[in-house]
Amino acid sequence: MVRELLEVENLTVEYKAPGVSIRAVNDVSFRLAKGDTLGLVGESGSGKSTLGHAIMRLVDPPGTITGGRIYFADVDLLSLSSEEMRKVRGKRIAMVFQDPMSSLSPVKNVGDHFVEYIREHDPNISKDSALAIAKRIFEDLGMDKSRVTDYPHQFSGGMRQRVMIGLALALDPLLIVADEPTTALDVVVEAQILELLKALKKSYSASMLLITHNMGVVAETADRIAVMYAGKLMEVSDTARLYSRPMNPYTEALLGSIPNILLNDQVLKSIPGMPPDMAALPKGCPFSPRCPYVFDRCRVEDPPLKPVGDGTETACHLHG
Amino acid sequence: MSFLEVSDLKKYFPVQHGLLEQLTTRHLSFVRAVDSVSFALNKGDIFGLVGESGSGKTTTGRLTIGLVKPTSGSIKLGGVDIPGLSGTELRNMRRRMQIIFQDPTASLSPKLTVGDAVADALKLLEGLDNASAKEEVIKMFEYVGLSPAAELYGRYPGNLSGGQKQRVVIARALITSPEYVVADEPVAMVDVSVRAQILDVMRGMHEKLGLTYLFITHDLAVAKYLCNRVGIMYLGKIAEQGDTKEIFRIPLHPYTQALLAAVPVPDPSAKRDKKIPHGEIPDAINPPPGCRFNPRCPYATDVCRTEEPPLRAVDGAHPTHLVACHWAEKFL
Repeated sequence: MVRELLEVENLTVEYKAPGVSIRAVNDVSFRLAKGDTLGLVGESGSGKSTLGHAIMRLVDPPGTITGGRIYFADVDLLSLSSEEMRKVRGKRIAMVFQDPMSSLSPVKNVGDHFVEYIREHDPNISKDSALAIAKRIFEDLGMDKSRVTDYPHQFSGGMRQRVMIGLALALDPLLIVADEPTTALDVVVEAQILELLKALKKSYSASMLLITHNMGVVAETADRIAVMYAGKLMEVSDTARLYSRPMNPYTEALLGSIPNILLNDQVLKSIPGMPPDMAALPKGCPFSPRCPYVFDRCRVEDPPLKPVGDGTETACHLHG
Repeated sequence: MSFLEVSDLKKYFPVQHGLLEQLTTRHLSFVRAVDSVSFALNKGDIFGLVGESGSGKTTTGRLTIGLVKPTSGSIKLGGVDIPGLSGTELRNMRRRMQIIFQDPTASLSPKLTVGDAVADALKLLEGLDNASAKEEVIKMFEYVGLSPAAELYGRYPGNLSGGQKQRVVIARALITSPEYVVADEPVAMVDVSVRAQILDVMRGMHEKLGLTYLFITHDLAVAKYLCNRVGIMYLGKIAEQGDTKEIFRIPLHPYTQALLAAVPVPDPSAKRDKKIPHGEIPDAINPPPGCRFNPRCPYATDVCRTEEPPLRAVDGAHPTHLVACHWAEKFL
């Protein structure tokens, strides 16, 4: 069987403490094809970041991956030793975080970051060649290559995020996991970075898992979108289809509650209630207490994610 | 006369230097957070002050209610000169003007029940006794959608969701029946699915109590949804201001145009011309001469690099639509 670049099957991540157990990621399955961008959207606490970290096998204790498979380039990442996984990280899957400043050392110049990162994965590359790679990437990112000797604090917020993206690309990874890469940035710089990510994805032919809470960001960058709520995927669909014909009531409600700058006299439909407490999830579907279409079955049985045609999957009893 | 009149308002913050610099440098440098800002609000306006971080929008909001003293300029609220008030006079004005902050968790004491937190404002500013304060608070809780109000009254902030906490903060700001409320990014930290609820509460209270809001936000879509007028700030100055409908129909400042183009739209079928300016907001210690946007503006000419454009009306049909751009006519 030929697998897609990334196939996540029934992945579950649990946080356990005496007396409580939280399923931050609950039986999640999805695929990401080579060259595609999958937008993973959800609110805070939905488990989207934990899912991103789980794919890198970087879940912090007390969280543990308690079930499922993560096939990446035909290998189950969960079967690898930590040493083997370390080689996958960076070289084949790279991550871009929300806050670049916390990922860069203030006492090393940016070029040194590149040299160290590249040589850690391939000690045969000389310092000079590693620096040459850094300079080439700087140009790809629209930055002056003479600035590779500058220190992180000498860069603006947007430039620092460019540096982080550059580092992620340094080893030509197959997959980039970008966790809220533009959330800390102002809107104009956000747009610059999103345009850059789109262009780079093409020129470096990498796939991307773009994690965000912003339905506008994924609308403009993702090929497909997975909507997460309370640890589970509610809907996975092509981007155009998700917005024009949302199949899950949560997706529909979310889209109806967001101000859209292109609309005049928009009427927002607010969603009643609030996201559930992950330590005390409602019985049945986690969205059932807020859902306008709720019926008896929703309150007892949690619907699984099922295909409903046209490449869309949804977890809702309204669809069978 | 307008309800709130702000004219030529300036706030310069001195830059803290290290010891060596203090000994060797003679002149102080300043962050020009707010640099000659003028606007006026009528009673009942929801004025959106929109800008990126570092634009000076938050400082402007705080100046208008006397939380920060201006370097120069005047602020008149209902005829009262705000910077000229003494500490006691300012406290007496507090009930008439309130502020809602971005982070509800930081705005509420973890040791006080949320009911008491709101009742304290009443007791302190209105001199009510315990029983009648509690009665008023429960009424207000119901107004802002905190129900069951009597039960939530005795809860601590730690036992409420982010959306509920922000409702408490709104209730506390509105309990003394203020006339003027500064709302500083009130939905920025609230979950996406709860944002619309909070905006609804703010709009509902505006109608019910006849409030005037200064609504500070970085989110143009939120401003368009809620505000009847907006001012776009860039690097301490207002670049453009006017009726919300006009600004979004025909943005006249290249910076406003850039902001509009940059906003991610939750509709993949929307075809938009993405003209995104390069660079980022420079720091406000040494703003560029002339128009502050000129280094990033695609239309900048020599005059933009030397002469600061005044805020002016360029469209005879819309005299309240003001723009600070030498070339604004060509966008009409």
